[in-house]
Amino acid sequence: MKAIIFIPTIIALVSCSSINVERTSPLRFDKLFIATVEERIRITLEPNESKSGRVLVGLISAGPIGALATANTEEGFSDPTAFKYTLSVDTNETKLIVSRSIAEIGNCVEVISPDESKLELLRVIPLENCVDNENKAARSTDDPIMTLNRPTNVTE
Amino acid sequence: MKLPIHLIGLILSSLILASCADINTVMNAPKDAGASQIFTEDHELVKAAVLASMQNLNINIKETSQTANNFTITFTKTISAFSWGEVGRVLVTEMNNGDSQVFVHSEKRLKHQIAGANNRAFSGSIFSGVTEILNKN
Repeated sequence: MKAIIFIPTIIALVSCSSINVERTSPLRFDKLFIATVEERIRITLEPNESKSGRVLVGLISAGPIGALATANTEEGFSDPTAFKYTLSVDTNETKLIVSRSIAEIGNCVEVISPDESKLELLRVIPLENCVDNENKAARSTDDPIMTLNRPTNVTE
Repeated sequence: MKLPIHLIGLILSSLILASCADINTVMNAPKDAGASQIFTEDHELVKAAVLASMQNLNINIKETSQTANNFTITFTKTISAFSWGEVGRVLVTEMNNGDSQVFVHSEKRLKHQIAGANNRAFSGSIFSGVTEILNKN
């Protein structure tokens, strides 16, 4: 009876997990845009491993001792955290992103995508980059060619 | 005869449980614990590269924090068939000359287990990713 429970458990564990440290996708470092940090809020992300799931695995594989050992985890074990940022790209456009990077309000940041997830990276860069960014946006609004291309701006 | 065996089992189990590591163990470790590597690129670029390198590894990033010169990332690795899981801390420190020193320190949750990922496996994967990103940028 024990073998009937033990063998499928081991097979399930081996097929779902790896003891090696491996990349789950190719490395990327795609620069998306430059913006100024307007707001930062700490948020809790979906857990990758729950405490109850961990205790269950411990209980199945090593009995009460295993359950006790696996229950011995830190406070907030199942609560990975990150930050939700409101970023202003220029005077007319703001974007919301989630990141584990830490930037202060007023910092000029480069937003970088490292993978397919919605978790981006922030690199703090000199403030001049954001001033240049806003100046470019302002210039493109004043550009007569650009203005002509916008039907809403054409008046008879 | 049965009682001493149970007693021995209980004592051994208590010893094993007492030697369990968690996030606080690595958080309270000395700053220079683990393997380290120095990168000469811009400190903010190194911090982003370290996070990028870690984000697509099969580990769980727990949280990040920042003090004056230190950017800290804590992580865990999930329980598996051959390991009770691991906990770790990555510290990105800005040096006086502007360079960045990255420390990777990890411990197995059950310190006496033989299998599982060791510090060399974590530091090797993280440093190689950082180097690859910095070489491209």
